[in-house]
Amino acid sequence: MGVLKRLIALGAGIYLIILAIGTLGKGASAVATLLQTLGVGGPVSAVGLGWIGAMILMSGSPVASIALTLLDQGALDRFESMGMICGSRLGSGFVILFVGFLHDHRSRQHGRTAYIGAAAFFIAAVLCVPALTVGEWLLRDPAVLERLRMSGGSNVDSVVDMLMRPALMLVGMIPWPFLVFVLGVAMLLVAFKVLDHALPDVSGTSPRFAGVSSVLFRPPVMFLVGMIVTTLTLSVSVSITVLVPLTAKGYVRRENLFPYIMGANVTTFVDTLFVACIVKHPDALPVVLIFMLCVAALAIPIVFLVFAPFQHGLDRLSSICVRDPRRSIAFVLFLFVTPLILLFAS
Amino acid sequence: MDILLYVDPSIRGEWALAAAKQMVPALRARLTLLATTEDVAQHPRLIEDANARLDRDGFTTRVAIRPGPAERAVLAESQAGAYALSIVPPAGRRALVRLFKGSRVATVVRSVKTSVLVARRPSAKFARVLVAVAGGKHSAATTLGAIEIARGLGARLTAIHIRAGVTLPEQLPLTERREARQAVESPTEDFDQHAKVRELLQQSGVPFDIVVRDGLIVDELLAEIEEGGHDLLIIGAHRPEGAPTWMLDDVTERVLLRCPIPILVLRAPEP
Repeated sequence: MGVLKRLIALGAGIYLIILAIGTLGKGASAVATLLQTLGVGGPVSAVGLGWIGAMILMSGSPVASIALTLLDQGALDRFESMGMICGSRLGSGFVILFVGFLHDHRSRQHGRTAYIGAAAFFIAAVLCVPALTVGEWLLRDPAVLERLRMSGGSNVDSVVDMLMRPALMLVGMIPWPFLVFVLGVAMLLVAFKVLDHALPDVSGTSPRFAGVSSVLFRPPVMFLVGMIVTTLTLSVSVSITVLVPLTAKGYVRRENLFPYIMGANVTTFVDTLFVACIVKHPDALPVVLIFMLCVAALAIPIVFLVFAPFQHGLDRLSSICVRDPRRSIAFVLFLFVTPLILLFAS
Repeated sequence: MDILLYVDPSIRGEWALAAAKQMVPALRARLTLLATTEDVAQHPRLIEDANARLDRDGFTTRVAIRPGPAERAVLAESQAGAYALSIVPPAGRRALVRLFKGSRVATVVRSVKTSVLVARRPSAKFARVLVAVAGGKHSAATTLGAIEIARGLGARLTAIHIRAGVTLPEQLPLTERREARQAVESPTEDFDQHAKVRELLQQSGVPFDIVVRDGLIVDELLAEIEEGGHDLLIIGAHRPEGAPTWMLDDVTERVLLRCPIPILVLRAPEP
């Protein structure tokens, strides 16, 4: 795709994201009411909510954006918003597992691709759950919040408002807030799709990494590659599939995959950071930034200091969970039910 | 063939002597005993005792003394002579010391051009030899070297291949996907080198078996050593091509540091 087309896709993608956020904001009251009716509240419930959302939308990023919109509209507090972002990562890990599970079932090669999904889920869980615990603690500190809040931007805000006002006025004419919210979600999904076309094609760009199927790279190298590729693709699952043309062989060594997924889990929040800058709530940016930094602060020491035992444990755990078809099904079902339990935990 | 044996005054020196006692007759080699100037000054009977322990039968030894430390002495002597194999015991450094001083055997393996036998506590007889084949173009050369050693030792040879690959969930065209699956699952069908390895083993007359395991390379190798009751591990020392060295993980070094049995890092001639 030419540079001009990419720029157009970038502009359209950003416009649609901002419009989707505005639309979601207008319909958020319906979701707030729904959550109150269901008795959903607290960070643990929010984890379940984000997890289910990512399972339904088959992606974590739109759910993280929705979490920030709900924060902006007062439907969630900052703790719940971070919980929902965490849940979106777990749900995204589940989606990779589920796709791998289906892939194995169709190709009758038991456990090979589901193994990647199981590993991706466990990596997300190992990084995001402790990051949520630490992040929630940091969110309680007003000094930390104050330091990370964004200042200024009033001129930018007025330009954005001016560009969005006609479209949002049209949206405002829809009488049912829940329908407005659903429309916002749909816009968000379209926006991420459009944005995909603006991103550089990273597949097959570096012959140096063509060996990820045969040679072993140092974990920090693959961690960095995972971070860079995901900054460009914005999605962990897309980053993993990008490895296919990159390797040109359709398979990858486990040792190379684990640090790559860990790196991907750090920079997958880049688009959520962007949304945090659009959303006007002062706590939106601190919520995302703190969570992202906590994930990075956990991932970096693991990759640099204790990667061998971490990798050993992860491999064993992932292998056990998808060892035979019955176990795979049980594992998928367990992860399918868990967010429902979390949702009503409080 | 010439073998260089580093004589260590510590208890681990006994391991190297015991390994040499089996390897030198098996390879019908000449043996050179190497000690550092500092060790000989501290233990004047070091070489004499080593010779006595070797209980030579049918092989001759010569002696070389070089300034230490051990890594430097082994490197200097291996460069000075036409050695095919260096036998070195581990220094027994604990993790913290190793963090600062490095691993002696890893340094030797990295720097010398000969094959290196890291002499961990050996069995009374090397009866079961395990050779790791990765499936690349060096596999045949590594297998040939292992066959020669196993034949000399009168040992059973097990070739192990570890399938560390996992397929990716991309919608590849069916033919490519099938190829990918075969590459991961059926190395003997897909990799020419594996077929070659099997052929070499069949032609050798050495009793052999082939083991294929799934998982992480180092973990599965160590698991096979434990479960299979192997006495000696042989691995190739080649570096993969195509990426700068600083980017690559050193699997040999990771195996060296964790392997509980003697390990021979084989530098086979280029195919």
